[in-house]
Amino acid sequence: MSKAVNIADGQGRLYISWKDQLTGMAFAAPYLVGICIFLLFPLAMSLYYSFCDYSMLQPPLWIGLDNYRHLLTDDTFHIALINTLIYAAISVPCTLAWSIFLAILLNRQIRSQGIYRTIIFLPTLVPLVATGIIWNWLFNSDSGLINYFLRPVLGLVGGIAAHVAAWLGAGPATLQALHDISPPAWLGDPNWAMTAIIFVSFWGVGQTVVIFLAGLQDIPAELYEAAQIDGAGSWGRLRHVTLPMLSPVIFFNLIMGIIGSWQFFDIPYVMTAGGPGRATLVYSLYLFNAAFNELRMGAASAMAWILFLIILALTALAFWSAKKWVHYS
Amino acid sequence: MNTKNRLFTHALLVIIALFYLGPFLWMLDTSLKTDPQAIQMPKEFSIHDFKALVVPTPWQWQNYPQVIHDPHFDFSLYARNTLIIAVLVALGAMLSSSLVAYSLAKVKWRGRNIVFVIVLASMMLPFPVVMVPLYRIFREFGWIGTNLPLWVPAFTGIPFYIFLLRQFYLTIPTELSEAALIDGCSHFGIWWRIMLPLTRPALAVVGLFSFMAAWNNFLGPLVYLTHQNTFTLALALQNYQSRSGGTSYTLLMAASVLIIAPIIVLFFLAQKTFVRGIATTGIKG
Amino acid sequence: MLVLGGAALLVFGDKPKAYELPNGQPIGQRTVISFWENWTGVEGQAMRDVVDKFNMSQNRIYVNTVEVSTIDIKTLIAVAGGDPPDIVTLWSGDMGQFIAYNALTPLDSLEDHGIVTSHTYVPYIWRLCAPYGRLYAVAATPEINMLYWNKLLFAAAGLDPDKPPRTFDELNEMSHRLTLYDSSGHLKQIGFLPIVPGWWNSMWGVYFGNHLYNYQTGYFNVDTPEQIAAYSWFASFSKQLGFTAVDSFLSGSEQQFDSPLNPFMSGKVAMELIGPYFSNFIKRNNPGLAGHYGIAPFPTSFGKPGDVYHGDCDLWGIPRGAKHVPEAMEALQFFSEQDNIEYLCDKHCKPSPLMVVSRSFIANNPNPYIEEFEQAMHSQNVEVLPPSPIWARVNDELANAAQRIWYGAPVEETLQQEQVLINQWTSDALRLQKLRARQGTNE
Repeated sequence: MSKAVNIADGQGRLYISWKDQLTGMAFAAPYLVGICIFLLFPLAMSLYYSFCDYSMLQPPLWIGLDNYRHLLTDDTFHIALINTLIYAAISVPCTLAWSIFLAILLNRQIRSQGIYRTIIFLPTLVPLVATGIIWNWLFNSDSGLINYFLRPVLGLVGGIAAHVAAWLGAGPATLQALHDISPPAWLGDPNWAMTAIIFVSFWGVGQTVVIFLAGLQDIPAELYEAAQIDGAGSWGRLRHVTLPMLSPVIFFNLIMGIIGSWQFFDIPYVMTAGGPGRATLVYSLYLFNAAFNELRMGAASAMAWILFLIILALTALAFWSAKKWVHYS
Repeated sequence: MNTKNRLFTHALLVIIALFYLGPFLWMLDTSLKTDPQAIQMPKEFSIHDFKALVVPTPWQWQNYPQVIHDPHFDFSLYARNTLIIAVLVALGAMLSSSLVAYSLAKVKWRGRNIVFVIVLASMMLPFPVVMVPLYRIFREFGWIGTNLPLWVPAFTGIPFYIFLLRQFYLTIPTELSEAALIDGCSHFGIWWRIMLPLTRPALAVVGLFSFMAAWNNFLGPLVYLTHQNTFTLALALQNYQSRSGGTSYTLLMAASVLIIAPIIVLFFLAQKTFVRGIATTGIKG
Repeated sequence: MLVLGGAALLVFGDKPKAYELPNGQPIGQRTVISFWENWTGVEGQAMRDVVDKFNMSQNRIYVNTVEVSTIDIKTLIAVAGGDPPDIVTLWSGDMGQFIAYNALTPLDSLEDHGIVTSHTYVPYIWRLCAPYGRLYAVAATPEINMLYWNKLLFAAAGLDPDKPPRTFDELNEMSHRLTLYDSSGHLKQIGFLPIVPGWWNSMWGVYFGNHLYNYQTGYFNVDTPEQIAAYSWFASFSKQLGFTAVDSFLSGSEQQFDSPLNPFMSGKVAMELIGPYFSNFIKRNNPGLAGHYGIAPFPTSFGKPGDVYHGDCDLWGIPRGAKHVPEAMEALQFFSEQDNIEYLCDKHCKPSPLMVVSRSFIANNPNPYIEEFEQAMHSQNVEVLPPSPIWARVNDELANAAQRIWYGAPVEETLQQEQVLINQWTSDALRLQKLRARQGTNE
């Protein structure tokens, strides 16, 4: 009987019964076995491969730091790195802000709140492949719905701008250019393809919104009332009540966002395959190409480890900064 | 909230809802058109043209049977493949994650904290780091070409759900398990007979989410499934899209609708669990 | 309710189908071998016809055809995973990489038994199947590029519709005459646009006398004077027309050849360099154009048109690690018989890769210019995609460089940068190859 109950020994250390120890380890066994086979061993192998030339069709050949050295001078690698950095740096904060905005909007006491919430959540159910295909079609420069609406709008704006410019005395070339304003080719235009892809990220924020919504609903109403009594307007309430109380949830979503955005793969793979040119070549796409298209598995492993370090560094940064702005109640 | 505010909120939400719902409607709309009509975009914007744009002329209901009966896109076969994998993953995730989570939360043993830290750290591991060696390992097992790599690992526990369930178990008062222990129940019995039923809502969340993740998974099937008759829906859709030669946008949209529909149906049937689940992950996270 | 639905799907959903013969009968006791091919539509159907014929012609082997996209990547992944198909359709550009990585089973027995030898195919096709002397693949359907020109647009521009350009000067001038603008100054029609279809952007040097790949050393010739001349010519179109203007001009078109929105088929571009299969798709997508276009060898800067061609070929190979090699060889032998090759090429509107061609093939071929294509096939000067092990990466890099040049990068400087980079890759690859050979780790 008492074998199963923990007894403290004379010095206050917990006496752990061998039965508990065994049980604990037995229960955790599937996980422990699993991580040995599917995590720790591959991790070690992957580190080894990163120092080798390896195609998987031939045994690995040790080449030391060559993979890493080549990456330093690999222009395409730099492009992939920068593309992913831009994507992450823009999409993570912007989608977070947008999600918070939507959550606040949905939190207001109006009827049919449930319907709106459902609608906003639906896109996250869709496999990313299908999302990519749908938005590919929407962004099609000639037959896509987006340009269908954008064309007349830009034409109107261009026309007005041309009138104003003419009144200001602009030359015919400028006027022609203003009249000619037309929507970009989106996925066919190297300058706009990344913008299009970032735009698609805003469509899939449903999950984040619902998390924020739950967080908002956890905020006690008394805090808002107190703030109102103190004379805070909507903006003040946002700054001093909502955001601080929401900060743990923001922090969680930030971490998830960092980890997810740096591994962004499905949508660029389906929508642009990294193009046009290399405008949307993100890190994981370049890695996948190197591994499975060019069979440079050694180089791909090196890239994977660099990615791991980047994510760790950013997460550590987030954790360190968390002390400054995350409030746990 | 006064009427002006309410109206404003409604208006805003309607516009936003259009953004989120629109693509689905457009996808459905395109799937019922013929290719020439889908491609033709009137350059001018007028009400009459808008109607011509939106309304399929004629209504190509046959796009759907055409996709389903395409000999190289066996929809019900892929659906079945995906279902089997997703169910196995959900089962594995629920069983093993709760087992491990219980040991981390309710059983005191040495090394418990280290394992928990490993669980947390492995959540941050990007898949590409282990992608290549895992491929090699699965090849040694002879599993490439089968669907085993996609669900067997789920039976060893998935870090995110272990974490989630551990937090959940921590909220269950210890007196419950202590009492049972004193009565002579083994830990396994406690887990099986008391904990599992108690944590049913959390388990449902784990099951549902892991099911959905497996259903929508793309990179895994892309790498591990070599034979077309083992493809999952996500992979089949991408395969359909990337065929050489021309793409029929209308058929592609129809295929996408077919693939999205089951998940949407599932969502409406299990709405409460979904929403509660997401809320829980966010709060406890 | 959910569980019921799931269960229903499990029970009634399609299970992997049992194989059946074309006439509906079950296949009985046969070895099943898998064949991955990547043709769709009409071309795919023709391949399946040949496979059906094979399946019906004997009762020991059943070939199961699977349509696969991105076939080169998937095949490499499958070979690396130890679970490859038995026969796969490859593009000749893949051969260098596949052979270097030992991803193909050598077809020695086909060569030893005289079934497929250097006398079976026209010279350049044999070079594609056996780049280093050993037979690794057999030819399926070839491709060789010619200049297609739209006779109607020629006539409309006041040019003789039966006289294609025979030099680069003529090409540039005719293209200029055929480039028209509409009333608001936007491009309405372009004579010749090198980036349509944009598949040979790494190979333009061919027509200026450049040999991209040195078969002896394994190095690439990227910044030779011929290349610089070629890409200056390439860039001249972008400079003259303006790449932004060209982008919007092309934005409504599709580069896919099986689409009515193809620029040549929709009459937006008057001349295009492309292969024989194009005739097939012109018939399907713009029958009004059929009979009103011509084909001719592409001009060269150093001689007459036809002094050099650029061609490639679809090939069939047996991946390494395939489980049914003898059966696969038998199937390949059947596919390679003259009747079957001619059937396939006829349906694809292509010439035949074989040295010997039957009269009826020429007489009945749906491609109206089959004789010109056949003549090109027998040429001794056909440049092919380099069978280099690093070709995939080099091609990607060269295509990207061509695109940068199109968008305004300086020709000589860009090519020189590429030469340095590609030299480094080549020397690394060669060094590693030697290292492996020395360590005896080359299986």
